[in-house]
Parts: sequence; C-alpha cells; structure tokens
Amino acid sequence: MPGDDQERFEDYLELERFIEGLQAGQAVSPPQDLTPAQARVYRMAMLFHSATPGADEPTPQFVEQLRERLEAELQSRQKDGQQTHTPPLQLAPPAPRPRRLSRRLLLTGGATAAASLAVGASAEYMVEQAMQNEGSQDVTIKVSSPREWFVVTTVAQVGNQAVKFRTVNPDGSTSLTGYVVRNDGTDNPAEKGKIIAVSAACTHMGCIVQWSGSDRKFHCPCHGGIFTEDGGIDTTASALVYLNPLPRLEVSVDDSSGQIKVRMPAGRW
Amino acid sequence: MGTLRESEDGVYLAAEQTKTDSQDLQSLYQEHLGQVYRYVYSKVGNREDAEDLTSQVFLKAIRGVNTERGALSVQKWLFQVARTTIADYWRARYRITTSSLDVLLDTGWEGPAQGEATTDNPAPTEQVRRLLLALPEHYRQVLNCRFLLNLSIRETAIQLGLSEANVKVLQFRALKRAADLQDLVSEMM
Repeated sequence: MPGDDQERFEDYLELERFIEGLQAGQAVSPPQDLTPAQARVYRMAMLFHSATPGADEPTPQFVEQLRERLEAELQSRQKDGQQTHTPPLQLAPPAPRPRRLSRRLLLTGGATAAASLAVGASAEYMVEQAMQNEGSQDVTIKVSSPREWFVVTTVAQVGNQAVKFRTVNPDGSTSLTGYVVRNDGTDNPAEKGKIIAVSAACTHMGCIVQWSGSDRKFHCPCHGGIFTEDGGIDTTASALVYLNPLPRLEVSVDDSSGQIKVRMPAGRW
Repeated sequence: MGTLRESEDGVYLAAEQTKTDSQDLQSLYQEHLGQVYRYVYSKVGNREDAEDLTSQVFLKAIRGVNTERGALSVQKWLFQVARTTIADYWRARYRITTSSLDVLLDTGWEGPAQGEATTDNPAPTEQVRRLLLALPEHYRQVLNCRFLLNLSIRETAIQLGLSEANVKVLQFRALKRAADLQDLVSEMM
C-alpha cells in the first residue's frame, strides 16, 4: 500500500470530530495539514452534510437582512454613479474601434492604448475609452431646468453615428446621459429614418450603455445587456432579456436647420 | 416656484431609476439566493460562514463591473463569483501556499471546475443523491445514517449493528470513495 494512502486511526477520529462539529452547526474547518486526497474526504463530508434535511436553507432573517443591505448598497452606489460615469468632453472625430478591449488592442492598439499604458492608466479606463470612442460623438450641454428643450446636434452631424450627450445641471452634476441616433430601420422598420433619443442609463443597474457602430447596438459594460438602436431589448444577443427598454426621450427636429432638440418626456421621470 | 419644480423633477428622476434597479435586484435576489446559498453551504458546512460568503457574493454582484462577462448568464456569473469567494475564504483560512492550493483546486476542492458542467450547477442535494446511488450498499447506509438522518456515531452503530470504531472507519472510506466517484458522477449529470 503506498504511503500516501495509508489511513491512520487518528484520521478516522479527526474526521469524526469534524462531522460532529458539522452536525452541531459549528464553524469547523478541516485540519491544516491534509493531503489533497484527505481534503477531498472533508469536502465530501461538507457536501453530504448540506444534504441533511433543512440544513442548507437560508434563514428568513438572513434573507431579509441581506436584501436590506443590498438595497442600501445599491442606493449609495446610485449616488456615486452619477459622478463616476461622467464621460470626458470629447468632440474628436469618431474612429472605428473594436467594441471590446481585446488583448490585441491592448498590445497593438495604437496611440490611445500605448499612451494610456505609458502614464499608467488602468485597464478599466482604457476599456471605457475604447468603448466610448467607437462611432459616437460626445456632447455636453448645460441645462437649468429638467424639462427644457436642449439642442444636442444636427441631422447632418448624426449621419450614421450615434451622438452621445449629457446634460449638466448648474451645479455641475450630470442630470442625464443619452444618445441621439437615426433609426436605420433594421430593428424597427416602422420608424425608419426617424431621429431617436434614448436615455443611456441601462435599465438593469444604471450603468451607462455604450454605442457600438459595428452592430449598431447599445452595449452595457456592466452585465452585458444589449439594446437596439431604438432602445429596445436585443433578444437575439442579450443574456438579460428581462430588461426594460431604454427610456425614450422627446425629440424635435427643425426641418430647415436640421437642428435636433431633446427633452425629457413628461410624467415618467 | 420654478426652482422648486426643478429639484422635484430631479428627485423623481433618481427615484425612477432606483425603482427599476431595485426591481431588478429583487428578481436577481429571489431567483438566485437559495441556489447560491445552498452551493456555498455545501462547500463550507456551516450557517455562519455560508451567510457571510453569500452576502459577499451578492455584494460583489451588484458592485461588479466586468466587461469580459458579456454573454455569460447572470447565474453562471454568480456561481463564478461564488467559487472565487469560496477559494478566497479557504486561502485566508489556511494560509496555504499558492501551489498547494492549486493542487487542492485541481483535485476539485471547490467542486466541478470550469466548463459547461457548472452552468447548470446541479443542486448539492442532487449531487448527494447520485453519489449515494453510485456507492456500495454498506457505504450508502453509513452515510445515510450520519448525514441524511443526522444520527450520532452511537446511534448509527446501533442502527447498523456495528461498533462505533467500525462506523468511524466506514464513514471515512465511504466519503473517500464518494470523492473518487464525484468526477464520474458529475460527468453523467
């Protein structure tokens, strides 16, 4: 019998102490100096213990406590999120980029990535940059009242891109981030050619969705939600099919100048 | 008056967003809490730690920003978070060297490794049921007494007509055999 597999009487006793601890509901740990084979025995003991009827059900108190804690966390996150998602003002011409930050982009991805690496920028920042720049333009607009009409861009400017905008309150905080896009009719033929404005806050957890010019969809960087260009749910690609659509904003297009104005819809805010 | 209206609207905006998010959170929570908790429980064996680790998993879940996650389903992702959380727990608890932890992980310390097997993560009780079916009769009996019936070593000995020392040996070997069978059984699932 190979030495490793040799069972000693102490092993039986030690395991029994462990099982008694499990049955008593104690926070017991397997001994420190186990071989991998022995560790698997202890892991099995925990697995079988969890099959004891009623043992592995969460208590109602715990369920309620954790729910409250998550709600609180979400609320505080929401407040922070308003600031952290503020995109930098960018009016540079759009450059086609892959939607996701691939390894190749990191290694060979040209000036942005190289420069970011040189100054020690985090990968997250680069992801943000790479995703933000793809086929969308950014506009920042000062607003003084939540329901006022504000000029975002012109029909000519939009072209086939999406124009990302955010409105800033007098105190500098962001009140709304959204996109203006022209519906090319692939997702919603009924509104082909129409200028559409949507809120960019993902209806899952409020992350700012990013426009991807290559598939003409909005992608949420947080949990992979995907929305069509008119803000609908992309049921073909998204794992999060139970999401609500992105809220549509009111749009007014001046026929002569091509100026596009947007405002928040009444009621739903 | 104008100013007052504006700030009210601002509040409504925030409230609307929070409402949507908390509904999402509720469905995420209701659908997956039980599964995640039972999974964690089957890896740590006690309520206190299972509650603590389950909380960590869900807190990470709502903080989590990971662009790589993309097409992964919420459930699959939650279980991935759960696995790393459990690994961290054991790492902290044992302060074992990375290499020996890797050995443990390789040998399935945390259950089935990556791949499709984890997508539909069989419930721990289902794993146990299948393992019991795959075990020889005397092993099945001793594990049934000790775990499913929650009998003491003494009660088990009486039930099976064995000495207490025998039961201790038998349960050790039964669990060891079950561990050997686990890969086989998970493949069948």
